[in-house]
Amino acid sequence: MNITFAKYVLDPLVGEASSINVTIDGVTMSVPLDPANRHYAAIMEQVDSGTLTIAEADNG
Amino acid sequence: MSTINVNAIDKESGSTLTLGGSGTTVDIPSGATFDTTGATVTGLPAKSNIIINGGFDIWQRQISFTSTSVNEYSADRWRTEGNIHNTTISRQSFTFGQTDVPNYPTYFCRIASSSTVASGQYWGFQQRVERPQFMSGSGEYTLSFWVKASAPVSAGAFTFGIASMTQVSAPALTTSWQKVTATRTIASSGSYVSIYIVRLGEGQGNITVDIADVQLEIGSVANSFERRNVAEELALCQRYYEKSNNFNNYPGVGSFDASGMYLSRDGTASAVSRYNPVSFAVRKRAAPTMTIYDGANASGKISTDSALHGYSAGTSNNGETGVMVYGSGFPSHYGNYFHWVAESEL
Repeated sequence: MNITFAKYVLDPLVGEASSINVTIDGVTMSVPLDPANRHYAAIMEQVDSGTLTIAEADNG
Repeated sequence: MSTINVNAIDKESGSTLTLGGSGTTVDIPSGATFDTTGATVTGLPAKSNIIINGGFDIWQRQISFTSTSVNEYSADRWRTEGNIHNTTISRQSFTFGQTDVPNYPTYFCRIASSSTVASGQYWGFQQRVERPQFMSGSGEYTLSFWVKASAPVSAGAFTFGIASMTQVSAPALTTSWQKVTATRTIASSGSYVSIYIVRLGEGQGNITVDIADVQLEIGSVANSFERRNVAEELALCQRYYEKSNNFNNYPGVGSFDASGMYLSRDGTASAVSRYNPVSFAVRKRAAPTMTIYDGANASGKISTDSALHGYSAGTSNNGETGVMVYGSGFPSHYGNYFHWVAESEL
C-alpha cells in the first residue's frame, strides 16, 4: 500500500477532523478515523513507524 | 439382481443399521417417498458455504488485473497477500454446457504467475473470512474447490490451505479439472481467518491455474458447491465493497458511466460547497473508505452538472450506512455529479 499523501479533513458540521484525504497507489480516497478500517490501520502503522506524516486540515 | 420383499429391516444388535459399504450407492427410486418425519437426520449438506463469491460470479472492480503489489482485491472478496509477485488474475468463462465441473458454473478464476517467488518470500491469493460474523466457532472446517493448470504441475509446486500455512496441501495438478479438499481444525481467534486457494512459497511460481467453486464448510465432508443466486451473492459482497456504477461498468476506467451516478441540480447562486448525502444499499462491515470519481474518471474530484470536471471532492461522516460527499470550488448556479466507491474490506 503506497501512501504518498495524507491530510486531515474537517467535518463541516462540527469543525473537527472526521476523515483523512489520502493518495494510495495513485488513487485519491477519503479514509474515516476508524481503527477497523484497513486503510486507516495502514496509515497509522506508517505514521507510527515515522514514514508518513498527516498534514493538518485546512480551517473552515 | 434379486428382490427381497419385507416390511422392515432392523439392526441385529447395537444401535447402527448399515446399508452396503464404502462405494455403495443406495438408490431411492424416482417417485418414492423418503419419509424422515420425526427422525434426526445428520450428514446432509449444510448448505452453508462460508466463502463469499466462491463461484467467482461477482467482479465489481474489473475482470482482469495485472498485480504488481499485495493487499490488492480483484474478484470480490479475493485478495493478494505476502510479498510482491507479478501475476495476472482474471475472470474466465466456462464453455456453455460443460460437465467437467458439475452444476454448470458460469465463471472461474485464472491466476497466472510469471516468475518464481524469491528466497524467503511468499505470495498468496486468499479470502479473509470475517469473524465471528461468518465463522463463529473453533473446530473442524473443510475447504474444497475445483482446479486445473495450463500444464502439469508436480506435487509440491502448488499449495493451498486454511489459516495456518504450516499445514498446507500440495496436490499434483493436471490440465483437467479435479476437486481438491483439505480439512483443518481451526482454533485461532481474531477478526478473520485466511483461506488460501493459492499459496506460492520460495522457488514456486511460473504456473497458471484455473480455480472454480470454492467452498468452506463446517465439518470434515466436502459437499457439493452451494450456488447462491447472484443477487444474494452481490449483497454479501457489498458488505465489503459497493459502487454506484452499473454492475458491468468499473469505477475510474473507460468512458464515464452516467447510469447510477449521483446528480444534484441545486442551482445554488453562490460558490459555496455542495453537500450530497449518499446512502448505501448494504450496511458496511465498518466505516468505509470512500473514493469519489468525476466525469473524467479522476479520483478525489467531482464534476458540475455542466460537465466541468476536476473540482475538489471529499467526504465526511463516513458511516456504515452512508456518507456525506462534498464538492468545493464550484462556480455559482451549478449542481454536481459523481460516482462513488465504498470499501470496508478486511
